[in-house]
Amino acid sequence: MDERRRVSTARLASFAAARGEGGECEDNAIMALAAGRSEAEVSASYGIPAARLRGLVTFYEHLGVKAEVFACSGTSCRFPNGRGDGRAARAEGAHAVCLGRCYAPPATSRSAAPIPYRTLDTAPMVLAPIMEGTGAAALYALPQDAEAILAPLEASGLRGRGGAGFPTARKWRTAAAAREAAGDAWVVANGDEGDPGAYIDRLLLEEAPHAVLAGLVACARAIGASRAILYIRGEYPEARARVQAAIGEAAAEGWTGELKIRVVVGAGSFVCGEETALLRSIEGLRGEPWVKPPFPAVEGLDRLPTVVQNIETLALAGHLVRTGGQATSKAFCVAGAVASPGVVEAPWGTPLRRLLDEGAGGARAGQTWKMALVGGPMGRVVPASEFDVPLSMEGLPGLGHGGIVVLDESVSVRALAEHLFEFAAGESCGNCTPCRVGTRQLAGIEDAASMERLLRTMELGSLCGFGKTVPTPVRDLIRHYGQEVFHVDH
Amino acid sequence: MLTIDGKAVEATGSLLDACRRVGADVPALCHDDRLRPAGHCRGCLVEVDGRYVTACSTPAQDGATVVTRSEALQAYRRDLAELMLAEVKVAAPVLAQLGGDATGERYKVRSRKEGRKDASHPYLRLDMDACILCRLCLRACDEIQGQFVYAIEGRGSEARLSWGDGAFADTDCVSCGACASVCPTGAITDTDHLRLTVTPAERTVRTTCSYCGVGCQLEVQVARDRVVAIDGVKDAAVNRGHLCVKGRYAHGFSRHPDRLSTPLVRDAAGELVEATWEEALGRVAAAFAKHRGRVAALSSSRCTNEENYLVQKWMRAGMQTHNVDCCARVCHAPTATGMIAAFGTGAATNSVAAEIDLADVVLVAGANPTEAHPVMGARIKQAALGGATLIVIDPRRTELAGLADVHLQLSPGTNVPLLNSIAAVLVEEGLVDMAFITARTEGFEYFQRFIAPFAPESQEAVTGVPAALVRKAARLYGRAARPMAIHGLGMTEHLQGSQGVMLLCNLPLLTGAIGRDGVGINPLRGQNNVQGAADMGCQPNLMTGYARPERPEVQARFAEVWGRPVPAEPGMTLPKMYDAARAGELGALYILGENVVQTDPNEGHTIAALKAVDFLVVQEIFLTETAALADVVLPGASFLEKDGTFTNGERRVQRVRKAIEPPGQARADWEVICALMEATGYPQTFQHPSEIMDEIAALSPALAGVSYGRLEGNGLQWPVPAADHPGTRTLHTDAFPRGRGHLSTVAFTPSPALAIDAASMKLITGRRLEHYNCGTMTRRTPNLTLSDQDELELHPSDAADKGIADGDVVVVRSAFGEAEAVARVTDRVQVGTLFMTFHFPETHANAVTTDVLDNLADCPEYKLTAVEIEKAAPR
Repeated sequence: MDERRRVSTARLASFAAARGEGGECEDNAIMALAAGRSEAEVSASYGIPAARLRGLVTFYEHLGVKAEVFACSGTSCRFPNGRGDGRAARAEGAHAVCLGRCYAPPATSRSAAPIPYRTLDTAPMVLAPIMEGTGAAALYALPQDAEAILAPLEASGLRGRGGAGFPTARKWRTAAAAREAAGDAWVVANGDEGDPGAYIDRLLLEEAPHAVLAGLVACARAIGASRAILYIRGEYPEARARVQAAIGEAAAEGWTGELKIRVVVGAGSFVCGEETALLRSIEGLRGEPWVKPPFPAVEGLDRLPTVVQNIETLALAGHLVRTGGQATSKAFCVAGAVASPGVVEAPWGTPLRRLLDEGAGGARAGQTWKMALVGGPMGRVVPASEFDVPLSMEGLPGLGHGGIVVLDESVSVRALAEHLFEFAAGESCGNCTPCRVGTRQLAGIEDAASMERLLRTMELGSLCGFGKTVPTPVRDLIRHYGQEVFHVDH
Repeated sequence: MLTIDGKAVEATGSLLDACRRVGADVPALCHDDRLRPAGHCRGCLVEVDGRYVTACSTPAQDGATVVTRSEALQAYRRDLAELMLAEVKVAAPVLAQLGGDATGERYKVRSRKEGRKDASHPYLRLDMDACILCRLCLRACDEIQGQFVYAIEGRGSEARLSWGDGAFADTDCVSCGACASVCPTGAITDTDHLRLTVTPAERTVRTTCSYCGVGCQLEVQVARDRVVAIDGVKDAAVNRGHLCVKGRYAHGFSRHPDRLSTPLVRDAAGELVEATWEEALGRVAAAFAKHRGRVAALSSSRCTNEENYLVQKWMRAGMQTHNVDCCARVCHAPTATGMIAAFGTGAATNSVAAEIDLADVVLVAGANPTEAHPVMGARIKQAALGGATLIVIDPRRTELAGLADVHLQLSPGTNVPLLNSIAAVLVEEGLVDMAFITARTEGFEYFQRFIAPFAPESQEAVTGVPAALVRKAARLYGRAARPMAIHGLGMTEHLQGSQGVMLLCNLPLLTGAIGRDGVGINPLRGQNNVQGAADMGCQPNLMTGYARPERPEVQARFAEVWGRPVPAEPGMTLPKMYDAARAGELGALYILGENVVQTDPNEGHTIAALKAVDFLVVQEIFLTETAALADVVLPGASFLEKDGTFTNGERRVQRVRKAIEPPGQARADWEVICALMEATGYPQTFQHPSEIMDEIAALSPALAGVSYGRLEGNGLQWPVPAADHPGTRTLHTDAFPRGRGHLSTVAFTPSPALAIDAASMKLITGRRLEHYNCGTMTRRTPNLTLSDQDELELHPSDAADKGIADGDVVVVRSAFGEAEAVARVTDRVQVGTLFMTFHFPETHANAVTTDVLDNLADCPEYKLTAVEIEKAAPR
């Protein structure tokens, strides 16, 4: 197909916005609506048809909601301290999928407890030096030359921490190569940390924003990007404020050089964490994933090569480029039935039980562990009998972002299953048939064979990683608990 | 190479393309080759080296092993169908594609609420209970038409197709029907295709649309000798399956009870009464014999090449006069004059349909293609949406002007100073291609001196366009790799129309933007066969193939084919015919398929001229205002009822094929003209239009290689100098027909309309999407429901000054006459300017228009008349 004809619906719709008031795609219709401008006003000033704006309002959970307080409906808040029937916090306030306060459940958007961070033992940690608060200026002491950035990054073995685990240097090299012909490129920091149970990105954005910005600078230099966007989910207003202050400080100090960095804020959609959906959300569209290829690293925003990179990965990348170390540790977010929830940085391969016992104070008083959900609602279910499993991409494939919610004996398998089904149906974007319809059918399935048939269809056919990985924890549950998954007792 | 189900195939395009090449049937429910792959339905899943991917969105790669049929895939497709059935009642053809064995009993949760239904639109019908959310409609609306009517509302299982809160008829829909044409389930369909479910088509006929010069290819579905539905031909070079509200839906006129089905003659009491062909032809023969030497013919750009050829052959050889003209006189004659002066040929230099996507700058001058040439308008819009820079020169903020990077909103009638100032910037800022100028043009040294005083700063007061904007536009055009100019009647229908076209031609001559892909000067032809009528010789000064009658070798060549000498006396243009008629110098006039009373300017003058002619014969399909004045009316055939060819605006000769019979005793127009020729003593032997084309080819060097056998499919773009020549897409690649391109130096001659007192307003006339020219055809279709009156656009501040509100009836008065139209208060027009349509005869829009003509080509200045307006007295 003629390249010029490959105009996506995305660009057609944002075209009017881009040429209208505002002028730049960072300043998009979603943010305008979230800021309280009326649909009619936004329609007129962005040139977007009214029906399309209604499409946004009915897609993003926070648009059109006039709530003072959001109540968290993430796993840790539905099962506070790892117990219960999964229905906690349902009634209070407007609904938000995980506010990143899993360590202090049940949380609302007003909860203000600081995020605990600790390391498992004395082994050299990657994040720890960043968290210890080296002076911000030092974080930006990066090589100018692309190869001087890419080589140590490659040597570090860093892989994306958002869940997919794609080798970071390889992605950057792809974008750098595509940039030759394209003339410019984009870097996008994916701060849409939606996985219930994960809050490491919130920690970094709030407590170490310069480390993230330094990662953006490193990436921009490596791929030759003149502009960067930091996308932050709407559930993290504090992070947005901290990041914006840091961008201002860095620009004033000249730390970020020529790189223009803008913040784009989401408005409540889990699927926007998927990279193509994220780009569409940045463009002011419904955050629906799009088919690949083209991969964003080749053709993304403005049809330019675009590296979309998770926050933790960026912070690590900057550090590893600077220090030349290895990406040997991982920050796990621990919540649920443990004595001391929080972010625990531990070496890859640490057994889950050791992480919980030594990093999170073991079981909470009076509670007996039944199982853990590792990597969020599309991650893995590990029964307590298998807590010796090593936490690594090889040892526990699908551990994703590394959020861990430990559940005790009071939690029924069906309650967890229903929580997963509700999450899947509630967050499916509706773009493709298997996921849109399939997620709604999960709760009505009554036997393992029928469930496996549906999961297989979703896994094979779904357009993005969401529908493809919804089956993962459901299969774990069936494997470990069999018919209990279908035992409806209320 | 890769293998699909064991068959080797070349790794080009998508996996879906490759699957189709080996005949592997993959259910791609949400795919259309014209749209970007979206992968919504997930039906086209195939196994590639153990992985499952959608064939539509995955490139075919060398070495891959692809499986499209396996137990796993069958089970997957069946389950996908079951999931669809949980959501919606899925159409049987869709289920059949997925294997057809789904029952709808597998999944219990009914995930969708009752769907919306809508029947508010005259053509489109929507039933969301049948929607599988494949989004083909939405994507076609976005990516083919560019209208953005549809949206997806809701998330997850709440997702649904929407068109906003109101009735569908109240959306921005332009009724192109693209959505209905791609919908696989019938969730969106149209009244014509619903009728097909009751009355299945007996046959389909490919033909060429007659609603503008774009030349879209139609697939006409016929049952019981009626057109039931029309679809776009998917692989047509011109329209790629797309159509507009006229081409797709406005066919009902063909069986309208108003159709003329017998000849009419004026009886002793002065009434038109039914007559036999014999009687009618006898009257014409007698009158033309009586007035021999004082006869003239106006041919029709709506008729076929063959018919136009016959009309001028009849006049020249049969009646021995060059008094033959056609309605190109009142639209694009200045284009021909201007472009011939610059290049030597009056036709489009490039093919907009084939090359618009190559252009990086598109300059649209005096054209409103999203209404007047909708399919090409949509392509221009898509080019702009896809990143091409758009410059629009127009006194109104047309739809394209609203999307433009630069809109040069000039004061009406100031094309000449504006184009001079653009050229001045090109020269002053060194944005010219000196190598091209030296090699291919003449007159640059003089031009350079001439143009210097026209800097935009000095012309600002005349054109009303800020100098900075003119400079910006000039720089964009001058720096572009491939700037393509497209123009319309806003360029030509002026006192200096031809000269304006010459100045437009200066731009590519200065920058080398001609003679290669994606550039050039491209007139959008108003009527479907304006190009062809001119090619055939329906103008007094040029015969078939633009042969000059005064040249002895031309006379010899034509005399040999025609068996009659070529007359020596020069002929008259249409306006001269009217003048001659009023002076009593014209005895008999033949008009083919033109409603000049409604469409020609200064209606009073036109009527007086037609009444002054002793004998008027009109060949028509309806009893138009013009036919009503005739002494004899001959019933012709619509384009759906005859064979022939049209030549579109990009010089493409395409077949017109008979789909249905003419009503009653009406006949194909070529047959009627042959009968007239025989009755007036010049019998012809043609049995089929193809034989006429053979004669045309013998006389016309550019069409020498054209014959019906070669016109299947997408036809041929002239020049086609030989039977084995493939046709020519791009003109002037090596040289211009006149040798070197001519840089024109033209000073501004303001129209008399600009000299009238300051209180008067400037009236522009033009078209609306739903109607075609005088509306004779479109007003007799449900398009009337979409647009049922002429409107007068005026600026809010003028409306306030005159105490006129939106919807008021307004009287428009000029030195020539008056008209009434409904006020549309809008800032699309500038203060002091008005825009009025002329589709409805009761408006009498052309009672108001001017007697000013183009100073070289006699084309009326429709685009500028000094008028005054007031609110009409209540009736």
